[in-house]
Amino acid sequence: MRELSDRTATNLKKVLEVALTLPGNYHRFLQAGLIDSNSNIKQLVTDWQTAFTNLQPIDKQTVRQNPGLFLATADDLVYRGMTSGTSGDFFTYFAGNEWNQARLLARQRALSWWGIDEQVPIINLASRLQPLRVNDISLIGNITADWLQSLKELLQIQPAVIRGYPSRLSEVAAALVGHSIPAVLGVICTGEVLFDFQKQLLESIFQTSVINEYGCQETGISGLSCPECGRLHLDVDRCFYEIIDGELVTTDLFNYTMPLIRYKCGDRIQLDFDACLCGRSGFTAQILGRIQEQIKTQQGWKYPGEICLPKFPGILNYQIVKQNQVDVDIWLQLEPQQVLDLSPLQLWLENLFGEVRGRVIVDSSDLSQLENTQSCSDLEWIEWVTKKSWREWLELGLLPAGSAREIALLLKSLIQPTVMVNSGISPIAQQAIARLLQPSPCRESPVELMAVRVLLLACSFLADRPTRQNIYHRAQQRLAEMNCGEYSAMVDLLIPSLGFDSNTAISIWENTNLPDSGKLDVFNIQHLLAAFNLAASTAKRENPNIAIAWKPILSILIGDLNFWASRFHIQILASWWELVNGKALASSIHRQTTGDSFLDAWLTWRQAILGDGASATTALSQLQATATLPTEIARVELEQGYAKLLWQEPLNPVEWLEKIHKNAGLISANLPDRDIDPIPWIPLLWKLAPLWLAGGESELAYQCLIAAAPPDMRASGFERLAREMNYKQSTICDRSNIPLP
Amino acid sequence: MLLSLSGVKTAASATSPATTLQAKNCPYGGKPRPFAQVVTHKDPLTIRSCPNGPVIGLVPKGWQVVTGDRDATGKWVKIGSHFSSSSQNLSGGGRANRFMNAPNFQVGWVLKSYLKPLGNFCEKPLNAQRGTLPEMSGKRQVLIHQDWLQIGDKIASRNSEK
Repeated sequence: MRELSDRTATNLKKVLEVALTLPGNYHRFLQAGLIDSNSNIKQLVTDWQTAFTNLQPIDKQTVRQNPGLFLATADDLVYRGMTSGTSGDFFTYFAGNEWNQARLLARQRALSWWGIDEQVPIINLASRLQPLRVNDISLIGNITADWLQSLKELLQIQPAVIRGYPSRLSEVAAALVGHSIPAVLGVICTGEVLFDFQKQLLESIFQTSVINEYGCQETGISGLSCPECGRLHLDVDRCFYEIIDGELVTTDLFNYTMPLIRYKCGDRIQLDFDACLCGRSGFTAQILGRIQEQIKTQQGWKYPGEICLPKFPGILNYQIVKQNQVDVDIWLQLEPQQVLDLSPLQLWLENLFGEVRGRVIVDSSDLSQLENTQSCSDLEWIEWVTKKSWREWLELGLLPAGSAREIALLLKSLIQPTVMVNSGISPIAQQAIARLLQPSPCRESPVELMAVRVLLLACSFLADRPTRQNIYHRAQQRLAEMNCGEYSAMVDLLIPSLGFDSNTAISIWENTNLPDSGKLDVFNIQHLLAAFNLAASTAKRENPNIAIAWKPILSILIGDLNFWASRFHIQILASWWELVNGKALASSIHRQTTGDSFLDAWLTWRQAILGDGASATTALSQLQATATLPTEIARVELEQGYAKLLWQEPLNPVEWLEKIHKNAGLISANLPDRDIDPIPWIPLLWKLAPLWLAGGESELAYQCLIAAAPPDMRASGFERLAREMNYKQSTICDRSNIPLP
Repeated sequence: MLLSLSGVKTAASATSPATTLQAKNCPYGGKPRPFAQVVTHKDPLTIRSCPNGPVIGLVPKGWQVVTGDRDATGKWVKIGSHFSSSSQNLSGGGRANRFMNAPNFQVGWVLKSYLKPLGNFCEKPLNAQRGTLPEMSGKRQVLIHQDWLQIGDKIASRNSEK
């Protein structure tokens, strides 16, 4: 092991001191002599630096078998990530605040080499990379004509850096040949090996520098190429790097939540300790590829990064897939109006693979036909979004052909945005809202009603309160002009109150004439779910006690809706407003009893939470006395759990795990026999995890945390598109060398 | 070396959600594979050695499998697990990989009507959404990272049944 700097030694010692307490490390540490086997106290030996060199590295598969054994705390969880990996070969890891701060700082530091400060937006393109900084954007989904237009519009609004996997960026660049492209400030390639022909293509199309980025979150690895020499500098503050038996082995110096010591992340890289001419300290690296990505060539087994993929005349972009010992598929994107001369490519392939059968697939995709859409009538679409599955609507790509089309496109851009910003909605969705705010006399009443309902739903996606208020009032006015009294539309009119202050909310409630009875439609339910995000933010601001005790309160609201949807009364919505605002809603409408005795008792209990402990205890007892159905009895036990969280009463982990087992199926019905929906139980699971960990049940604690992943509308919409279309790929790979797991 | 121009990709099928290019591959090789979910009413689905042949195993309701060949009638389809090596023979995804919640799983043939196609994916599509957490939930599966719209759909379907 090379000599450690004082800073690295201090940080390494600190993380080792956490790691040595974990059961997953104990035998390994003992074997290496890092801890004294004769001592009753687990502490590092004096000469720990020498002992560290004897420590056996650990791989992903080992951690994955029992990840809980590597969990040090269940309290300071700021980051939840998933490792990359082949099918079934990944695990969820956790990190804390200090780690997250170090991560953001390292990134900021490296980007500053290129003059990319916080004001410069980074647009992640066609990748599974979410916006990280305030001004960042992700443009995801299939690369279609509309998609390219969105990219140009975003760049037109503000010049930006673009970022993504080199193979996907090259696809974008090839599709943009001949287009007029607004200024791009830089191209960051990440996630895959960057090849020469890709760099040349990206530089020529975007007319800017290409930056190479390397990162692996679970290890703390991060690095960026320098502007002066283009060498990849690894950040040595966050991570300790070693090459053992030719393989990269790392120790994250800031993850005290789930420390991975001498961890083999599965990447092959070459470290270069010669000083870079740019003057930056530390070493540089060349990425060779994943450990399982070796390719059999005439020159022996090679990693992708060891093979030079050149630019061929007439070919913009390509991918080489060796299917077996004799067949090689070559996918090509050609330069326009070129006669295809395959001889340079043929010669190169012969040199690389010897005698093989090459199958050339030329991409001549008509981008306009890549849109997955089907047309229907306006009324058919309205019927779908008010009565049927929204997930299936998006999967079918059903779009109305008439004047409802722009409404459907706006709704789609809200719930499944191809343009994703860090908070609020994209400039493109904002423009769509502005268009829909203009009344159109040619719309038929059902279409106009949907326009208003979608505008009301859009309020839940807007972070800026004055804009939200403006849109709300204009939608409210249009609904009044229509003289519409439909129950579902009136509920839509009340839902945005969850995101408004007292005065506005009271005004909304007093000015809405709700029919005596009615039933939520599918649109109402999706609207309520969207509004819960804003309500959860309101709770953090207006009722922090409840937001902390019932963290994440979003899961409680979703659980409430799941339970009460079929017995819905508008008083429930008023009760949610009161919960997140921590005060009573001074409106007479919602004070009326519902005629459902259990619901009335539940409403009284939830309202009593705002008052003193004695009345809340009485209300909870009354709720228990009112429960008769098995689902109601299960509900009472859940509410008793919430009460314990609120009053900071101790939880018996064994008892509460049993309660979850017993009641989960009753609280969230309609699930397959084997499934548990953890959403309403998440606040309890968060509390149970540290208790299990303290009791030595680390795997159980870890599993509680896994189950307690909070629901996330944005991440869900992102994954739905990006997971299917924007995954990483290998520009050159050998499928005959894919080992069985 | 023989180099042949064997395919020109024109456009993705409108009916197929997977619009990956023909030679485009998954992160670690292989192409996206067709996944399907077992949608029996209650019982596990019977796996047979050949279409309508002897029973060799069981796959639980809700499980996600990789689908392969169909028989001439179109009623039977060969299934493997996400560990299966290729879509053609689906080898390697059976007994060698022991599944805690599907101990009787085997590569074999099942009735196609009990499978719901999920689309083509590189990874098991709902891996991140349904997990087996034996310490916490025994043999029952836990829904994790549920799709937001599906949460709404699920609530709405429960609502409409009343």
